[in-house]
Amino acid sequence: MSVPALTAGGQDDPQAALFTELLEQVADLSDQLVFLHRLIPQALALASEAQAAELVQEAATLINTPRAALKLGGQWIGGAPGWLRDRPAPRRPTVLPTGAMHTGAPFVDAWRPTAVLLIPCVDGHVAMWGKRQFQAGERSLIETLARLLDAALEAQRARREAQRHALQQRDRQQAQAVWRAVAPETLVSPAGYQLNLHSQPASDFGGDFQFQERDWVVVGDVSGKGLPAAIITAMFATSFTVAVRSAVLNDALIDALHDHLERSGAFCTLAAVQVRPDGALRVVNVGHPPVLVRRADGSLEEIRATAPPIGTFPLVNIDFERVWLHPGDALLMYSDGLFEAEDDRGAPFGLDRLNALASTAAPGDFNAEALRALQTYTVTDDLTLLTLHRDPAAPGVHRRLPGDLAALPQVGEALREALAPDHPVLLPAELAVTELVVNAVRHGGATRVDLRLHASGNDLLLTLTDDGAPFDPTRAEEREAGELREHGYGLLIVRRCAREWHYARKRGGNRQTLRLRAPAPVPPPPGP
Amino acid sequence: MNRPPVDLNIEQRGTDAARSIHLSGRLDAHQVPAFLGAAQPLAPHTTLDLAGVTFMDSSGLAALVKLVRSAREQAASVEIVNVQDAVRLAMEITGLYAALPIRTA
Repeated sequence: MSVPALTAGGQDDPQAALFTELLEQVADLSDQLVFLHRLIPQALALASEAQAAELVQEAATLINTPRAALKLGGQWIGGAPGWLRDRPAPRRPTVLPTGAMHTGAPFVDAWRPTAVLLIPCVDGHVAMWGKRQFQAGERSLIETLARLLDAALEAQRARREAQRHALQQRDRQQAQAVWRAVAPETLVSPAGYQLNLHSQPASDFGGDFQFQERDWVVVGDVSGKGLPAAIITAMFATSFTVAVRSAVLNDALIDALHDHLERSGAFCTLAAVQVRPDGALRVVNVGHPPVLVRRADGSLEEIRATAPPIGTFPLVNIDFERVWLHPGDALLMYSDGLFEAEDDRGAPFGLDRLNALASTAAPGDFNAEALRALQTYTVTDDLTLLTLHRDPAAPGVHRRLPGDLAALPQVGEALREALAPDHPVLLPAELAVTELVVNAVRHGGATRVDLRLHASGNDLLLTLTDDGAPFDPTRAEEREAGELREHGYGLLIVRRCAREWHYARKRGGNRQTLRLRAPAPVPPPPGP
Repeated sequence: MNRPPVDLNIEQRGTDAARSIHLSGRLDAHQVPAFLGAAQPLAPHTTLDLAGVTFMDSSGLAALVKLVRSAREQAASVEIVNVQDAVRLAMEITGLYAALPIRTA
């Protein structure tokens, strides 16, 4: 608003001068009111830097200033003339009087004498020019504008940050839901087994994972944490799913798992077990802590990793270890979060303590007992405990024989406990198992032989462990049938009765795992 | 249910020239030394009656083979009779049923 010229009175009239001054002040106030009334609502609604620049232009118009520019974050929003771009940023509100500014070429938009108003704000400054003079009131208004801009821009930044955070939270929640779909917190107990799972991620996504696919139960640990680990887990679960549907499981696993992980620069440990209703398991351990077979009587067998973690070195072959779970036996799988948990003094929980616990705790209570034992420890990593317990009510037999051939009749006794007298495998099994026991005692020097067995249809599933010297009878040379010689019939008998025969050297002894079935009738040898 | 025998019973009849050895019970790795001790030295003609044998393992089979082979070397004869199912199974699995001198009724 401009102040009307006063003609009443003269220049020397003090009252008139006072009146004029008052009027000017009222006019200034009025200007300020209009200014603030127009600009404050816009400042509050400010949503972008471009709008901030518009606000500055509008403020310039309100104080009758033809040109304005705004610099924020080192950038002139909407552009600025070259002479202005070259000026250093003002440290304090500054008015360059007319004449201080060079005009003319090469400067564009500065073709006539002009004063320049420079007002710093938090993230830059406001510049106005294009008229000969800035009033103190105008300068004050633009300073107010700069504070208003500061507040509005700060509010805008806070809103953006809150939005971004909300989006991130939503993404994270969705990702967590996806991850839990891939690595569920509960798994289904296979028929004839009780499956207990404790899954305790260190954050909302874990590097540990577990899932089921067909008759496979898989636990693993992907390197890293958080979203990247969750993505790799999902990828891995998909690859595994494809692999177990493939005819050539081994190759498919190797291709799918290793290549994917190597490409993503990650690695992964894996313990997978294929669970059959009759107690026959196939176990794979690649880089994972030892899987424990916990027999009904508390004795333990370790299934150690047969290869380094997937993604580190190309897998040549995946070894499947055959294990029979007899009634009451259990398979225990766990992640390193268990034995790496530390107490107050930094001592780890450790594998020895873990093994002692696995041996003494009832299989159905193992997870709960482990968690109780961990109460005085700090678990910093993901913690996964998975127990697969075979129904202890099913009929099965465990018999420990001394390393003495006089105990051989006990083989038949143990078999008759598990098998009906007319069971087709009874006689062949007694033949085969007697041979195995004689072998262990005679050739391995065993002082005890443990027989664990149960029937499944026409088959007998037998686990024979002994404390003898390392000896793998499955690799012994086979002799021809029907020859009149005085050795080598034992192996022949076992081979003819065994549908499967697997050997593993375990800590402190040998373990043989056999599926025995009555042999097909022998064709008569060709006549002489 | 009858408990299967846990021992081997050896009964010898006949003359020095023609002897029959009646076995009953188990002929397994533990019993083989007793059996070979009783059967050797071989008579010119020996009949092994296995009517009472409920179980025979590969050591028992090997003992029979040993007797048959040493009889051949000595121009003596060994004949096996009354092979029961459990023993027959062991002989069939090893292909010995056709190779041993077994007389069927």
